[in-house]
Formats: sequence, structure tokens, C-alpha cells
Amino acid sequence: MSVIRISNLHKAYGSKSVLRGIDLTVEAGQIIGYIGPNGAGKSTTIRILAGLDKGYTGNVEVLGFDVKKNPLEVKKRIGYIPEAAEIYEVLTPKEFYELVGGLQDLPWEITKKRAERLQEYLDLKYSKDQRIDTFSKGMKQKVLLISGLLHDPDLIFLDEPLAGLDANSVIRVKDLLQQLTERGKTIFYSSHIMEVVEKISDRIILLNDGKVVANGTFAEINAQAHSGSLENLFSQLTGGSMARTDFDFTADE
Amino acid sequence: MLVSLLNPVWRRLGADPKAIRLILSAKLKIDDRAGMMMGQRQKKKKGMEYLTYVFISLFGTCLVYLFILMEHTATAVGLGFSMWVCYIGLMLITEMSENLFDQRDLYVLLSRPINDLTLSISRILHIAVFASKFGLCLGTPSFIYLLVAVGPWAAFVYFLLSILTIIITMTGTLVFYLVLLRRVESSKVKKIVGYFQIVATFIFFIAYQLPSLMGDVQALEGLELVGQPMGFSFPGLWVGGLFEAMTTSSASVLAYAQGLLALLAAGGGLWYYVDQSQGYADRLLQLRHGGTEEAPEQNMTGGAPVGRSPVRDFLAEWLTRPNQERMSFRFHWNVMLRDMTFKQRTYPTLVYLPVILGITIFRDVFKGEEEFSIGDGMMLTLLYFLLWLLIIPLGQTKVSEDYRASWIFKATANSYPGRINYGQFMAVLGMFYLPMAVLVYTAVLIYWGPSHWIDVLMAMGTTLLFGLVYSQLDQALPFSRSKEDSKFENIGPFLLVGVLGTLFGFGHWGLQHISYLLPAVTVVVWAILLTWVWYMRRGEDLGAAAGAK
Repeated sequence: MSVIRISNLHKAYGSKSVLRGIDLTVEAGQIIGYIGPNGAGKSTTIRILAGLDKGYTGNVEVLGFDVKKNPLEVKKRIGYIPEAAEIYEVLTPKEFYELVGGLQDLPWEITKKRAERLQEYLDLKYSKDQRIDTFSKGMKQKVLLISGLLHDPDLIFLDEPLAGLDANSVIRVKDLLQQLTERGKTIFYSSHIMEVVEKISDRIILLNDGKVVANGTFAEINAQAHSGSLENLFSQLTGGSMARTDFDFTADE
Repeated sequence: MLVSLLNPVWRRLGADPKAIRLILSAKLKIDDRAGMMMGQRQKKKKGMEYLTYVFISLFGTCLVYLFILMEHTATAVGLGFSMWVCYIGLMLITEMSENLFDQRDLYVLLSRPINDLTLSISRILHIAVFASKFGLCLGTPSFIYLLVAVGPWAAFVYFLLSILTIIITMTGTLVFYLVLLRRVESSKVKKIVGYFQIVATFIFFIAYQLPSLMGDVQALEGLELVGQPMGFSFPGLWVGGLFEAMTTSSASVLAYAQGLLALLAAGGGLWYYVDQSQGYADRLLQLRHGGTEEAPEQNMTGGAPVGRSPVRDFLAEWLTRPNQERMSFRFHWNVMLRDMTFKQRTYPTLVYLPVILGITIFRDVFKGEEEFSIGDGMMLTLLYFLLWLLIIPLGQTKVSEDYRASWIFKATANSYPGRINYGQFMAVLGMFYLPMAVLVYTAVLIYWGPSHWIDVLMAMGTTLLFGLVYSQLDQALPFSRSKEDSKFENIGPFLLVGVLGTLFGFGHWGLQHISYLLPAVTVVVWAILLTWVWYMRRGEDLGAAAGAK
């Protein structure tokens, strides 16, 4: 069953074209690594899929709903964790979960129970009544991650979910994502950490300059390009080049 | 370009002129631009800014009245500049404090090879640009008056003294902050500044009302402060002394002394500011660490438990149903109680009307026309004043320094926006309206008599109804608007409801004189109110949560 269907998706900011005709289908129960260089349009795609940006052309369906026509139905069923999101720092995590759970029409008892379990799993510890403004970047990221999972969404969009996390936390989040797919959830995430993307993604979609330039399992993509690692593959397909050893930016001065 | 003219001075002082120009240019651009949210630009803030300047110019025009009213021009100049000192000083405190403690300076500017002096000069120039805009609006009417009525020399001196007044005000304010930064524990500075801003705004508002009393105080006509011992009491009057010394040949010794004091205040203030700028960066860094995980214990709102509030929980249970309504109530209550921006913008405005009321009574008593102050007019004014206690905080629940965090309301399903609005309304009602309503209603029933219960009921229904109308008109998400985004369409609903509510108050006065009409209209108002509340709260039964099994 397809949980995401995108056809001929175009998006522009003023005269600058960001997405140039994306066609994509994603099946349920997969972890999709959505990668690409800075400015390729990853966050824009995720915002559109999450029903936050209606200024596009083309057809976008999420979980069977047209995102433009039924954003509310989509938002009920998805989880969205944006990149470097702002958060109500004057609240405690519990109060923030209460807010998000309430917005998702979730009874407080369930919100509380799920938040506690997720906090324990992600090893998020803080003293009682501690406000988010006292948290480190990684702790805030965990609060965001938990808030996006509280309503047990079928499809989860994560924009750079590993940013700011320490090595142990990265391992826990990776495990969590895998467990979610075992429960039939679909994960659609963007990341710049190629090593992680290569290891945990069932499928990798590479975006460059607003177009999909590769789409498949790592083995499938690698079979075409023979790059050996996702990092090399990324560099090859996005027009980057390996570091030059003779580069000296002060040359000819 | 004007700043570049002083490049030799900056260089001589040991600062980097190029860096000063670059920093100033960047800061002015930042001032001019609104923020981003969810990848989209917030609306421009120009409209409101121009409106503010129009109001300040009107205030400046009122100051001309001082020259017309008073025989002693130097005292008029001194009093006018005293108003400047209050006005600009408090504008600096209320609007520019964040600029002084801008943490971005730490990473963007202080990580570059610039010294403390360069940063300090660019900061004071930035503030000078801000203050000069107000100075221009305040001073132009008086300048024109002096040019026409007194002569070009007096006008030219007035122009020079305007610059001096701005310097005195700026350095006075900045020195206050520098002392605060050096003497007070880092973790407490922001809190102290926040509360100081609240008090300062309150004082500013009272000072702003004083010119309205001038028309009634004829005693000002022969008042002479400059050149007298009282002329030493306030910096604005020192500048008046300098005006006297520069424009007349008969200035007294005291006037010369006051003029000298003004020059010393400006020069001394600048010297102290430059002298104290050393080490500013270190203190800013400490201030930054006052808000991170490195100081978790200090940041627990002074150790007070933040999660528990019996009043909030009691009211939440009493006024709202579980889930969305209660969540919204608790969320708004918590943020209103903790967000410094909200406090700074809301608390002072809540005293505006009592101050106007106080001034009205004072004027009535002064003129021997206190009939209004003790009559039904005052009773209705008090009853309808409660409307402002609803719509002022309601309006501010749309605004926040943390406005970017409201992405959560866009990203979640939020199937019942009416319930969120209801929770928001009730939180404001519980925190601001209820306590004052109990006081006002009790006072009315005791002072004017229990027979006025119908007036209380009518006014209560009307104020709540107009509060709901306002809530409906301004549909912005909770705390989703940047405080810079004060464009006219944002305050439009506020003005509309404020005016309509006041008109309804007059209507109420009219209804008192027609038998049976007041009870009938009261029934209609309450019927509309209750229907509206039902409509807001309607929806499917609870427990329809996605993912709730």
C-alpha cells in the first residue's frame, strides 16, 4: 500500500524554483532516507507532505488524502519533527506534551504514559518541574522527537532528527525508528549523516537541484554507480567532487 | 555616511571605523526586517512604526503648548526637555534592552577580531539612531515654533540642545545598564531588566498623561524653574539653563551653573560609557551562561516549582472540560505567567485605564465638577472597564518573542480550534478578568446599591460577549506573532471591539432610562453569549483521539 504519492511536484519561492517535477511513491512499513545537498529542497518537500505548505503545483497524497484538500486528515495521522524547531522553552516537557497531545485530541492519561515510556527509552532525564529552557540541544531534540510520536502516527516525517544528539542517543533513535517500522509505521527522514542513512534506510531517495536523481535501496543505487559508499555516491550524483589534496586557498597571493 | 565623518575620532579612541560601520549597518537592517516562521516571512512592521511616529509628533505638538502657556521660555524649554528625557529614556528601556543583551553578538560579533570599544561605539550609535527618530518627531514642532515666534538663533540653540538631551538620556540609560551588568549576578540581570521595563512603561504612561492636565493648571503660567534652585532637580531643566545662557544676556549664575551641569552630564556620561565598555563581552558571556544547562539550578524560576498551581488547576477544572479546552487553558495560563514578553506588554497596559480614570476624577475634583465621578457614569465606566481586562491580555496571547514555537499549532491536526480558543479565553478570564470583576462588582453593589444588580449583569454579559467577538476577529494562533509585527490589521480588531464596547456602555446608560428595556436587552445579550459559548465548545464526544486505543 502506498502511503505517499507525489506526482509532478513543483514549488518555487518567487522566481526561484526549488522543486522541479518530483514523482515519488512510498510503500508502508519502510524507512526512507531522503538526502541531498543543502538547498536541494528536502525540508520543503517534507513541509509539503506534512500539510504545512500549500503553495505548490502537482499532486501530493499522503495516506490516501490529498494534502492540499485534507490537511487536517493528514496531520491526524502523521508525525512531524522539523529541523531545529523552536519550542516553548518556558514550559516543562510534561506541559509541552500536554499541549501537543491535546492538539492531537489525545487523552492526557495516554499522552502521559506514552511520553514517560519514550523518555525512558531515549534516556531523557531531568529534574521535576525543570523547564525546557534549561535543556541542552540534544535534550530539546529528544523532547521534540517524543512530541512527534505521542499520537502513534502511521507515517513519521523527520527533518534532521539526529542533529544535536550524542553518539548513544543516535543509537537509541536509530533503534527506535527500526522498531517503529516493525510495527508497520513508515519513516520518512532527511539527514546529512550518510553513514546512518546507509545503515538504517530500506530505501534512499537522493534529491539534487529540486529533482530526484536516485531512488532505490543502497544496493540498487550502488549497482548503477559503483561508488562503494553512500558518501561517494552522494558526491558523484550531486556533482560534488572528492577533496583535492593540492588545494591552497592562499595560492597566488 | 554620517558615521564615517567621525572615522578619525573612532580611530583616535582606538576603535575600528570599518567594523563600526558594518555592525551599525547590519543592526539597522535587522531592526528593519521582521522574522521568519516555518520558512515564511512574517509581515513587515512599517505601518505601525509610522503610526507610532505620528503619535509622537502629536505629543511633540502638545509640547509647543508649554511655550504658549509659560512666560519664561527657558523653563518651557527645560520642562519640554524633561519630557524628552522621560519619553526617550523609557522608550530605550522598553524597546532597546534586548539590543543591549543580544546574545547573537557573542557569536557573530565577539568571535571576530574587534575590541570592546568598537562594539560599544557601534551599540551606542545604533541606539542614537533609534533615539534620534523620536527626538526628530518630538522636537520639530517646538523648533518651528521657536523659529517663527522667537527667532532663528533660539531655534538653532534648541536644535543643538536636542542633541545634547539625547546624549544625556542615552548615556544615562546605558550607564544604568552597565552598572546593572557589573554589579548584579548574571542570572538575575534579565529578570531585573524585565521587571524594570514593566515599571518603566507604567511610569512612562503616567508621564505621558501629564500634558493633558496642563490645560487645567494655569499656575504653570508664571512658573520659573530654570535659573532657580529647583532647576537643579532634573536633567531636562539643566538643558533649559544652557538655553537661557545661550539665548539671553541676562542669565543668572544659577542658569549658567545648570547649563554647565548639562554639558558635564553629557560629557561625563559618554566618558563613563566608553570607560566601562571594557569587559562588556565577558559579562555578556556570563549572562548567556545564566540560561543554559550549565546553570540548571539557577534557572528553575528561582527554585519555585513551576509545574504546580492550585489556582490554575482549580479554575481549569471549574471553567473547562478535559482535553483540548483544559490543555489550552493550562498552556495559556503557564505561558502568560512565565513569558517575560507577555508580562512586559500586558501588565503595564492594564493600568492605563485606572490612570486615566484617576486623572479624570482629579480633574473633576479640581474643577469642582465631581458629579460624574460619583454618578452612574462612573459606575458604568468601571463596569465596562473590565472589557479592557479581557481584550488586552487576549491580544497579547497572540504575541510572543518565542513566536516561532507556534509551528506546533500548524503541524498538529487541531480538529477543534473553537475549544482551543475557548481555553484561551477562559485562561485570560481566570487570570485577569475574574479577580478584578469580583472587586468591581462588589464595589458597585456596595457603593451604588444592590438595586444595580441588573447593571452588573448586563455589563458582565456585554463585556464577555465583546471579549468573544474580539477572540473571533483576531484568529491568529496562540503566541504566533512576532512582537515587531504590530501592523495596523493586528490592532484593528482591538480598536473595533474597544470602540464598540464603549459605545455599548453609552447604550447601557440610555437603556437605564427606559423601563423594562434594560432587563430585556440583558436577557438577549446573555442568550447570545451562551449560544456563542456552546458553539465554540461543540463537537464530537471526547476520546476520538488518533492513535488512542
